[in-house]
Amino acid sequence: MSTINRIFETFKQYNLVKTFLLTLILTVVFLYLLSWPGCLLAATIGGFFTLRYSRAAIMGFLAGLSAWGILVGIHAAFGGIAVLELFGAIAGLTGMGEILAVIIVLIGGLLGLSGSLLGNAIFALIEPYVSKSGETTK
Amino acid sequence: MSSNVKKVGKLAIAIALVVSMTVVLSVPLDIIPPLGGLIDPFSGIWTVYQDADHPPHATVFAPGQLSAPVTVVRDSWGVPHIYAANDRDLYFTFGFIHAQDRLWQMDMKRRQARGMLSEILGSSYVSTDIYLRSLGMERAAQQSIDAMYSLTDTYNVTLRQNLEAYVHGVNWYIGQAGANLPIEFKLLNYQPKPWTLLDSISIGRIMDFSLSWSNDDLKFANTITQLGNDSAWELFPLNSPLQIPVVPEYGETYIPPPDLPDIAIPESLQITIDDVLSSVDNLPDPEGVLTRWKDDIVGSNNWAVNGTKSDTGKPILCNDMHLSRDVPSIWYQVHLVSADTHRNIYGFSLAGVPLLATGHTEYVAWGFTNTAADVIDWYYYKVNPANPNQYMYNETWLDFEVETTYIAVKDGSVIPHTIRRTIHGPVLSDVGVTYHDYALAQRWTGAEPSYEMIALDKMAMATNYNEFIEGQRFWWTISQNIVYADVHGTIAIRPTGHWPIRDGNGLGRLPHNGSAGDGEWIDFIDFEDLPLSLNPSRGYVVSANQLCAQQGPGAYPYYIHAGYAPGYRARRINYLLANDDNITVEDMKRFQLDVLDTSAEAFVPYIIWAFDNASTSITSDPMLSAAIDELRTWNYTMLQEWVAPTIYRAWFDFFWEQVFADEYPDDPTIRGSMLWPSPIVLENLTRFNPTSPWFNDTSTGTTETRDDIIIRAFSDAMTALEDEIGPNINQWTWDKFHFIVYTHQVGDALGHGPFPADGSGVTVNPSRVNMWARENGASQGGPSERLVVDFNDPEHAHSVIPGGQSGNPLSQHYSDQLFQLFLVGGYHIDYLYFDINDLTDRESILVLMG
Repeated sequence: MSTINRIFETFKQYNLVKTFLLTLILTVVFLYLLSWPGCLLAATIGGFFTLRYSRAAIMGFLAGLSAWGILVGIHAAFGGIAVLELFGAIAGLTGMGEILAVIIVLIGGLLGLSGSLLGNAIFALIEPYVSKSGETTK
Repeated sequence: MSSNVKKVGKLAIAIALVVSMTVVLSVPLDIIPPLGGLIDPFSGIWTVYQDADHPPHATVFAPGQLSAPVTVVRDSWGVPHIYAANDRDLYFTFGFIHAQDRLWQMDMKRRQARGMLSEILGSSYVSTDIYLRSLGMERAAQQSIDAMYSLTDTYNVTLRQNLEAYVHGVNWYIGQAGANLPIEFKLLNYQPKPWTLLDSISIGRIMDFSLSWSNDDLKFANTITQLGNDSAWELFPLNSPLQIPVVPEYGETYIPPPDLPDIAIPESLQITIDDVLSSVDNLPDPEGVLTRWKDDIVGSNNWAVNGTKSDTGKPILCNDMHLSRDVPSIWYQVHLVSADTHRNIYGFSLAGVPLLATGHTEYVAWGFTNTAADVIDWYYYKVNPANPNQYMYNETWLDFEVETTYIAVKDGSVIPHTIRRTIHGPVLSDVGVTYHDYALAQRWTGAEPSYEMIALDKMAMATNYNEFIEGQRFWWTISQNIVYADVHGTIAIRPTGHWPIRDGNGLGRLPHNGSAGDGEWIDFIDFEDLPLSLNPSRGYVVSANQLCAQQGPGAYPYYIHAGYAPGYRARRINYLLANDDNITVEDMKRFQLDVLDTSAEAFVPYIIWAFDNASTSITSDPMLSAAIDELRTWNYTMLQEWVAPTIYRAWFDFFWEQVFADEYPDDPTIRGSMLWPSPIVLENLTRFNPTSPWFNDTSTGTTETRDDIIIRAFSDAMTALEDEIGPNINQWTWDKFHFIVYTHQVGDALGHGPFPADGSGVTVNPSRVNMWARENGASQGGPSERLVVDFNDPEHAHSVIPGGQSGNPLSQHYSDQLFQLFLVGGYHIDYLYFDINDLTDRESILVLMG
C-alpha cells in the first residue's frame, strides 16, 4: 500500500469527531496564516477525509462555526463587540453588535461547509484511482 | 455511469458554494471593501479594540533609530509628554507617536493637500483631485522644501535633520503596525504609503487653503455688475465701520476708501467667471475642505493682558482657534522635552506636522487668529483664438506653462490631467471645461514657497520677544494675527504674513486684467512694516479676525484686506478686558465661553423702539407684545434655554433679507455668485442712516424706512416661529434652533452630535446659526481648542480640545475631552515639567529603545 493510500485508509477509520477536531485546528491555523481563505482550505482537507457528502457538510459547518465562534468569542470577551457596534453603526445598523457577531460566526460555518463539501467531492472523484494505484503497488 | 454523474454533480454544487462564498467575501463594492478581510478573526477590524488604549507599560525597539532611550508618558487625558536626550530622538519619537494616535487623519490630510483622494475614495473624486492639484499646494510645498534645503548653515541643517527624524518616526510606526492599522484603513481597504517631508509640509498648505484662499474677487466683480459700482462699494467698504481693529494704533474711526475702480466685464469673461465660481460647488468635498470656509465659522480669538490688568502681575495669554469641528480633533496636544537643547514646549500640533503650530514654554507663549489678509489675486487673459495654448500678457502672446499630472484611481486606472499656468499661477478656468475665450488664473501666496518650519522652530525656542520675532519674520503663509506674551512681562500682537504690494491702485479686490499687466505684485510688505501693537498702554491686545488696521492715507498705508469678520467678537472681548483690571485665569476661561451677542446689543434697542412707535395693530397683537417683552428683559446672552435669542435671531434673518434681497437678482444662481453684506454694514445703516434707500422695498409702490422694515421683519419672523414651533412662545427656546455637530468623514457613527448649543456666529464662543434648518443646519465650525497661559505659573497652563487625543473610536481618549471638558466649559492642566520626575499624572509609559 502506498503512503498516501495508508493516510486515506487511516483517516477513513477516524470517526466524525476526530475529523471535526482536525478541521477545527486546521481552520484556526490557516486563518492565522492565510486569512479567511485558509478556512476554505482547512475544511477542504477535512472534507477530503470524511466518508459521506452529508457528513462532510455537517462536519465542515460545525468546524467552521466552532473555529470562528471561538475566535470571535475571544474578541467579544475583550471588547470586540464594540467594534461590531461601531461597524454596524457606520453601515446604519445601530445596536446590532451581538447579531453581527452571530452572523460572522455563521459565515465561518458556511465557509467550513463549502470547503468540506468540495474536499469530499474531490475525494469521491479521485478515490477509485487512488485505490487502484494502491492495489498496483500492493 | 450514474454514480459518476452523481459525483460530478456533488462537485459542481461544492464548487458553486465555494465560488459564491469567495465572491461574496472578496469582491469590493465601490469603495466598500471586501467583507472577508473585514471580518477575518485575525486581521480584520477586530484589531481596532486591541489598540484602542495604550498599555500601562510598553517598550518599543527601534534599532539604529535612536541614540538613547526616549520615554513617553501619557497623562490622564492621553497627552504624550516626550522626554528625549536630544532633538533628533525627540522628533523621531514625535513622528512615531503622531502615527500611533492619528495615522489615518495624517493620511487623509496629505491626500487632500496633494490631490490623492480618488486613489482611496474612487473615481468620483477625480475632479476634486484635479482641482486640488491645480491649486499648486503640493508644488509649493516642494518648493518650500527646496528653499529650506538650500540653506546650509548649521541651524538649518540641524532643523531639517530633526524634520527628517520625524518622518523616520512615522515610517517606523507604519512599518511595524502590520494589521494593526486604524479602522478607516480597513473600511476603505488600503494601506498607508511611506510618509515624506513633502506630506508634512503639504498639510500646512491645505490649512492655508481653508484660511486664505478666496474667490471673493470674482464675487465682488459680479456684485458690481449686478448692483452697480457705488452700491457695491457702499455695502463692501474697504474699512468696515464700527470696527475696533487688531492694531488700533492706526485709528479706530471710519476712513473712506480711496479712489474706487470701475469694472466692466465682457460677456465672455463673465462666462469664465461663472464657470470658475460654480466649479468648486460641484466637486465632491470630503470634510468640506473646499466649501466649508464659505458658509461656516473660520475665525478665532486671541488676546493677552499684561501685568497691569492681571491679578498676578504677570501676563496672561488666551487663544481659541475656530476651525471645522472634525473628528478626530484637528489639533493633537503634545509636550516635547529635549535635554540637550533645553527644548520644553507644550502646545497644539497638526497630526503629520513635526512642529507645534501654537504653544507655550517657560518663557514665551503665542497664539493665532486668521487675518483674512488678501493674499490671492485673480487675473484674466485673452486666449489666442488661433492658438489656444497661448495667452496674452503685456500685449504679447505667451505659451501656457504646461504640466501633466497623473491621478491614480481606486480601480487601478491612472488618469492624466494637464495643468496650465500663466506667469501668475494656475489657470483655474481649466477645471471642468475645455476652452474659454478668457483664461482665469490666480496668484496666491499659498502656492508659493515659504519657511514656516523655520518660523515655528525659532518661535518655540525663543526666550524673549526679540528672539521670538526672529522666528516670526519667517511666517509667510497662513497669514495670522500672532499674539505674544512672555514671562518678562511683554505682550504684543502683530498680523503677520507675506502680504503683497500691488501696483496701480494697490487694491486686490477685483480680478485684474492680466493681459494688460494690471495688478502686478511688485513686492511684499517688510516684516518691520507689518502692523504692531507692542506693550500698549491700554494693557491688552485683542484679535478676533476683525479689521487688522485702518487702511489708507493717514492710517496704515498698505491695503491688507476687505473680507474680515464683522467685529462683534472683538467688540465684546475689548469690552471685557477694558473693564477689568484684576483679571484671573478663571475670568479668562469665562471670557472664552462668553455668549453675549453684541450684534443683539446693537440691534435690539431699535426693534423695541420701532415696536413702541408702531401702529396699534402691531402693539396690540398679543404674540408680538409677548415677544417684545422677552427682548425688553434680555441681557443679550444666547443661552439655550432662553426664548429671546430665538426671537432676536429670527428677526435678524428676516430683517437682513428684507433690507437687501429686493436689490439683489431673483435668480438664486446669480445670488450665490455675489457677495452679501456683513451684519456690521447693516448695523451702520440702522444706527446712522434710518432713511437709507436700502431700507426701501423696491417691490412696493411706497417708500419704506428702517422702522417699517424692522416691524415688518419682526411680524414675519414671529409668524414663522409660530408656524415652526406653535403659538406658545415659551416653547421657542434657543435649543430648538441652534446646534453644533462634530463630523467624521467616514460616517456619522464616528462623529458626535448634533447637540443644542449656546451662542451664535458672532459670540466670543461662536457657532454659526442656521436656525430654520434646525438639527440639519448644525454648525460644523467653532473653537478647535482653548488655551489660557498665566505666566505667573507657566508650568500649569489650561487647555482643552473638542475631542480627544486618539483617532481610535474605541479609545477612551477618542472624545473624552469633548464630553468631560469641552461641552461643559472645562479645561485640563498642561503640565510643562522639564524634569520627568515632576510629572505624576501617568496613565501609561512607553519607552522607545534604539
